[in-house]
Amino acid sequence: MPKVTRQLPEGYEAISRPVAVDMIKAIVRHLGLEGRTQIQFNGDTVTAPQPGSRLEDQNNNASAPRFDSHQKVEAMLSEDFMDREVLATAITQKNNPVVFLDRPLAVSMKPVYHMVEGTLSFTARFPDQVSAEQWKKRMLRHISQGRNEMYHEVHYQYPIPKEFIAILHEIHRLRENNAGYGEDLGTWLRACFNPRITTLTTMAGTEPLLAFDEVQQAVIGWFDWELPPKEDKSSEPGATWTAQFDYKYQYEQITGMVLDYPIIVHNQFLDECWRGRNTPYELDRRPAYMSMAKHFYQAMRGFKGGYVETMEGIVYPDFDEWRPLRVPSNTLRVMSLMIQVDPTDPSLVLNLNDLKHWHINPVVLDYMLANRQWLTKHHFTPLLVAMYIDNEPMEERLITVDENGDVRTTTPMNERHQYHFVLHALIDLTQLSSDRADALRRSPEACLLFLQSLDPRLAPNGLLPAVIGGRMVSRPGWLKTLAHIRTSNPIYQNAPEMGRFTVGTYLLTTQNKELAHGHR
Amino acid sequence: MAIANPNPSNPAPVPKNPNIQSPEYRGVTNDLRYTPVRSLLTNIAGSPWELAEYYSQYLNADNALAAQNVNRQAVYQQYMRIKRMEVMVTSGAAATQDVTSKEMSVQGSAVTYPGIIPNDGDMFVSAAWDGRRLIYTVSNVERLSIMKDTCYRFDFKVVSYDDEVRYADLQSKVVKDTIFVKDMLYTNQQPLLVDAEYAFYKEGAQFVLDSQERYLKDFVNLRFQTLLVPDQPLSTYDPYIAEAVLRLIDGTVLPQKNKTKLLNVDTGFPYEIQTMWDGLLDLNGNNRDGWAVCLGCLESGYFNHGPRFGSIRWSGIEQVYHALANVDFAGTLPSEFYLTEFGIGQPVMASSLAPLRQYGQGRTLITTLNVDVTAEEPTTPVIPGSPPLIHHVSTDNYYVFTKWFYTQSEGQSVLEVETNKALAGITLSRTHLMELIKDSYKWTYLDRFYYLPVLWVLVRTSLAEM
Repeated sequence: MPKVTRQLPEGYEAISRPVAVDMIKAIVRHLGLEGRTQIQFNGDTVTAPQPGSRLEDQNNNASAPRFDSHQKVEAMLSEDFMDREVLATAITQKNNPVVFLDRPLAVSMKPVYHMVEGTLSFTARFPDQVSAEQWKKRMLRHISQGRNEMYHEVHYQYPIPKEFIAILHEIHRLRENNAGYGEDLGTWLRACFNPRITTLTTMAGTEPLLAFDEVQQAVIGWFDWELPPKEDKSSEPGATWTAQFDYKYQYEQITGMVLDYPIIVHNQFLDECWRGRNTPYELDRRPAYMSMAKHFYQAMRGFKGGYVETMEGIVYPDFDEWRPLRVPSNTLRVMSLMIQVDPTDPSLVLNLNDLKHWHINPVVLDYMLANRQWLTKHHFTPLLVAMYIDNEPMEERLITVDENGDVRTTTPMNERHQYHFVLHALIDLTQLSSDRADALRRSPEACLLFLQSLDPRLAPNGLLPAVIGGRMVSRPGWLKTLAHIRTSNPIYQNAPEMGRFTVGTYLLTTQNKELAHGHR
Repeated sequence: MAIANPNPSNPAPVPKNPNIQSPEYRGVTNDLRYTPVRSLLTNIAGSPWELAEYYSQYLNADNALAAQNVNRQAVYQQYMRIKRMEVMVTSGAAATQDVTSKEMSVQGSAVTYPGIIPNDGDMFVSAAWDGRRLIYTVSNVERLSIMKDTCYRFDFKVVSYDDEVRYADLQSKVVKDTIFVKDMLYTNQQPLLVDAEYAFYKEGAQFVLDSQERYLKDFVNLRFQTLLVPDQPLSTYDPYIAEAVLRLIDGTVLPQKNKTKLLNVDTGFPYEIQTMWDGLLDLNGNNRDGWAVCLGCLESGYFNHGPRFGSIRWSGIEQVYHALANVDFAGTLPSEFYLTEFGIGQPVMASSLAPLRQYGQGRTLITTLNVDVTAEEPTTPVIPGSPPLIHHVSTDNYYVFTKWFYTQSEGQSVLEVETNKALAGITLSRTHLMELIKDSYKWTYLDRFYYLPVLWVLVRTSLAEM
């Protein structure tokens, strides 16, 4: 499930400036200067447009030259991100409201908000002393009345990154390519986007840009003064007076967007350019030190005797970022495989004898096949075979394993969904039902392997239980070992899962050329 | 009932006049002095420089100025493109190199013609000295006077060569396309034309020039040194169109006109006779009820001034197409007035009101108005019911145009409708005029003789309306 974050194609013209212009107009109204006051809010070039060069001037007969004596408010904007908030800002987390959602495909899009403090530096020019003085006294009254702070409503449109549109386009193509719904792109987008979606174009109707219309309410702003500033006689000749003051406001500014999407859509993989090949970075694939001795030491130190050591089990394909939202209690994933439904045999999941580059330890596999009727039932097997449809676990009765090791679903799998095959290991064997624990003890070779995998220090420390007559693990020894394991140190733990050391002992890895090339 | 009435029947307050205009100072004094643009043109300093493309920022009230931001979406930065804009360079582009970074800098300054307002951050594309093209940015724009028509001085600076990315970005941000036509400034008109206007400007101005030259070649009889009505069995002179044509053609442009003379067609009738030509040349149809509308041919012997006055009687031309051939013709005054005063009430020596003869039967097909403006060539006829572009001259007894033209009623051709619009001061249809121009090459001699001068007037009127 790639989660892509991109910055917006435009920030200043799309958000900062419209917000600031909303502010300036509200402030000029509040100051009692509206109507007869020219607002000058320069941008990039720091210079004002020539009178008569703007569209509104053509209707307004405003091409006459301006002189330096009329009433004017000049504003300058500077925006600062609030450093206290930056590290605590949610990016991919669930905090931000979703604005695009296709639940069956698990495609979603949401904006990223950062807290911004804008400072507008105003220079007000009054045509004479009287109007400057009256303005100051009006502000003084407002302060006495507690009207120094204001709530604002700001309105803007933020555009969607064009890369996201390209990805959505590709997802829609695949969606309709196989087991499609017969919807065109526009219909699908309209159904999934928040209705605030709109299209911006130039005045000629060209260069369309998808954007969201947004209104933020209760944006707080305040005059950065104790008392209104003293008005000064302007240095320019004439009777004009000027006053300078700052106004500050804080709002949540959109700084980027997050797109969450699957790598398999209607049973078809997205092309490699639409997903990452984020294989984990591994030190021992390349010489880490420019010294042979150090390099060999490093290689030896990480050698695990051919067993795989991983915290989340084996994931295939390795760029699959899918993670189950819910797992059975006291288990750890040993292996997650993405399933591409075979249209000719839609109920076949896989064969336990043919797991791509990996083989299940023959002892374990024999035990699993011998007890295959329990294999899908939690608390009844030390290794649990489970299936996930999209993000949800499938009901265990829908999965069967036959004597050849074929895992099947009882109802055919639907190509419109994503399926994952997951092998969970039960970490706390005390959770095993007593019948099944007894059965496990009667397969001493497998039983010892399971215990050993939970804590490889058992054998060196002589803590493995005794095997009675080579046919059965002794019950007191079994219980004693389990009690010991509960006290030993887990190496990995998160909310749903707890890892024991080298769970991968179950699985032998056969490293073939394909895999070696994959890792470079 | 003591409950307060929120809507008392007080008289409505007198509404204050809304102040729609921007509240600039308005006093009682009125400055009548206005310096027209064309008087400025020769006083603009510098040497002319044609910029291939000028990108003027398309701004609204709350937009800010910014130079080209290549990565800015077109929605947030829009331009009006002005092709072939001419500026006057006051300080030529000087190329210098920074000795530390070895980066080049090319800067200069120039002055615009009136009618164009540059802004800081505008961009333009112009040829470099080696044939490649450079992209420049504009800064420090300064208005040079407080007059209504003013020039602007600006500095320019090279940004880069017109590389793929920058140039394509500029192109994608264009929302309006115009062409700078300096000639418009001489007639106090807005110098920026959109493409359709420019096409008409080019085609129309060229048409008038070419057509006038050809007209003099075709219709000036060198033996009589005057314009003769073509295709007539007897040599025929029309004094009204002869005068109109000579007034329409500029002798400094077409010196052939100066060899052409008007003949004396004075009679005993001592008042001026007006026709539609007088209205057309003044673009004023208010006196149309005083025009002579039905003409006939008079023998030139009717015009009885002596040879020393150069009367047409002695010129060798056999007949005159004249208003007095109409028995019913009465000038603007009651006919009794003329009769009693001058005693010429006897029937004039009218031959008849026979219309002029149309020859060239094979070419009399009339093109109807092409309502499909996208078609390249007007087809004949496009729609059976659509109006014809012209009626042939002398379709009925009326002079030049048909009765429908004079009565402004149903049945007029496109040319007649447009002429009536011009007489009423209504904006002409450029599409229709373009069709008439294209069609004019297929007209008969007689049609061209009478209709081409009409079309010159219409095209020139339309050019002045841009």
